[in-house]
Amino acid sequence: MDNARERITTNIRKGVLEYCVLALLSRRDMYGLELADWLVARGLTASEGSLYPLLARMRQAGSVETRWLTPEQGHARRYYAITAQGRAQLRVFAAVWRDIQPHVNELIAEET
Amino acid sequence: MTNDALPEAAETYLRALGAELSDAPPDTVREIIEDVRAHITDALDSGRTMDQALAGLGSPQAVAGQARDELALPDGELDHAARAGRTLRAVAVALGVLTAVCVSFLLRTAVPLDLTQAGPDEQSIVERYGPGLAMLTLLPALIAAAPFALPARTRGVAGVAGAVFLTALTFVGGEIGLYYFPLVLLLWAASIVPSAIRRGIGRVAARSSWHVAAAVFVALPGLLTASSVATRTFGLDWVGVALWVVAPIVLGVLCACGIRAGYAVTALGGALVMILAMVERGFLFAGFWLFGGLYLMIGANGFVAVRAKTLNRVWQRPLAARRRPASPSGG
Repeated sequence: MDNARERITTNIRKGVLEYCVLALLSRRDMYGLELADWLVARGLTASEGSLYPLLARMRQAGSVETRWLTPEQGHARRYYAITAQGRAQLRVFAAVWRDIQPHVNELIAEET
Repeated sequence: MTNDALPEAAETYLRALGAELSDAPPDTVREIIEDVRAHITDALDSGRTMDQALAGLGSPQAVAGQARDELALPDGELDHAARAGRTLRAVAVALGVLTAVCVSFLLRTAVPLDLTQAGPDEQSIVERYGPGLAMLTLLPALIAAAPFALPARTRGVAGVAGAVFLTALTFVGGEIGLYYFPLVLLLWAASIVPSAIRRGIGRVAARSSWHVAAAVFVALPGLLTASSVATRTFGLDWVGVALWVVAPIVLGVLCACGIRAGYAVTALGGALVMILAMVERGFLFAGFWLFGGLYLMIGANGFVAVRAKTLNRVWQRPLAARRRPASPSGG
């Protein structure tokens, strides 16, 4: 049963993690550890390490870009920012999610 | 803290991650490793311990596996294992053909293939039985090659079955069987080495002990010859010393360090000894043939098991060398 839970969780995360990252970055630019902490705290990714290969791929695909920023407190960090292309992808995802989500909720409403 | 190399545990983690991705595009790997390095630095700055930071990241293998998924790279271990198996099998087939030539044309034996057909002494198999039967000597090469022609799913079983069959034949075949012994060794290697790579055997400790064992074996003729020369059992000129003493010891050292070229030269040297043994057909012909075969096998195994090092090791350089200078307001 635990195996099944793990497998289902992994599959669903795989489908949504990229868009959660885009949604987070659409609020403000974030650096790696910030993103990782936020996602891990909400159970959206199992390990922080798996975030970085995803970010590398997203950057290659052009949905995010990186820039170096030095905050008031602290040292220079590489920040991730969403691109126009990333925003467009996020809008598409949001539309799809809103379509699917009520139907899934309806189907599982009676499960406990 | 932020501009220096990280503590050894973190550097080890980053090195392991880089090694797992040694066949990925270097720029992408550099980017991922730079991000993970920054992540560790920030995690330590925020008060986490090294253990917490590394545990949170997950194992280097897991991160590399994720990267393979994302970047659509072939599964590194599987790909490497399949290539190793193909290379060893190709060497085995070539050796099978060489052995067939050797046995059919050069081997002058008084031992008949079966007792009812005792022929005159000093005839090769071709002379005694004609080219038709001599073609039979190619059968082991064909058995060795068979898995290439089979669908991928049945290759493993076919490889083992061929190795078992030829092993049995080697023992039944008497003197002729003996000449096929190097081929049989290579066939077993072609079956065992890929599955060992797949299961990750020899990743750390086993790998280095294998290198040392191979190195001792490769250097052995050099050491023996050196001791013979030193005790004046027999004399050698400088060319002889270079060929029989220095070369094996240098090769042994290269193999001990797990350097691919050392294994490649060992394999070529083994093949050369076999061919020379065939051409000269002198003293201890069978002995040179078998030992040449053994070195060919060791060299080929080492060569396919050691991965080509293609990655430029950028992540090993300290962070300061790559990071943009922090502005004066930086902490």
